Amino acid sequence: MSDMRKFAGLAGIATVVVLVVSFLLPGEPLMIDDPDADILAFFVDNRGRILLAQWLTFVSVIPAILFSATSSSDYVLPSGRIPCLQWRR
Amino acid sequence: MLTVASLISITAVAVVVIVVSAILAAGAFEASHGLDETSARLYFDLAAIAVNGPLITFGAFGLFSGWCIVARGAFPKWCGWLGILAGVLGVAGSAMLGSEGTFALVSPLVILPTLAFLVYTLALSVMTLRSPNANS
Repeated sequence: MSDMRKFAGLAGIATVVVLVVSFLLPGEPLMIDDPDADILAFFVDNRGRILLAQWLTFVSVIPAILFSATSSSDYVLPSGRIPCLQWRR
Repeated sequence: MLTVASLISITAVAVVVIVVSAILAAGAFEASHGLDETSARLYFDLAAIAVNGPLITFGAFGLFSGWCIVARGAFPKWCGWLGILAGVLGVAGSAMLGSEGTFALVSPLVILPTLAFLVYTLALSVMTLRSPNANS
């Protein structure tokens, strides 16, 4: 169990690292009011980086699901109830 | 049961992040197949509008998991409050993006909730790593 939780923690950190890299990889992002020519140049100039960033985003799902599946028991009360779904009288 | 719910929520987050990423990637892919300015603008605007999806799903995940952490006490309460803050920022940012008509990939309404979500996930991961028996 302890090893699984360590694995979950590492998976969560890996998720964040991969997502940050994929966010930064395409280079300086455009603003919504930039001219169409700049947007076209963004796609043409950064084609490889954008495609790699997309692949990394797909890859980030693997550690994210591992993290979620192994750490979700921390949200449960010892009684087995989920705190945010309890109605207090 | 909660594991299933947690998996569904994280899968929802993953799907919407992938959608935004895939729209941009489609534009990049077309760049070597004669992409014109109008189509480039369309891909970019679609990605900017689709950013609403991650904000809402990040927000929901932060709100409910943060709430559970505050009530459960397995992790420090500040960690739960950080999740709730990330959740509020995500949901509010999403609502303001739509109402203000300022859909954008780069905007404080997008960057702040995203940073909060990443910091929250990192904090949760470190807490999980450092407290091997938090649930016992």
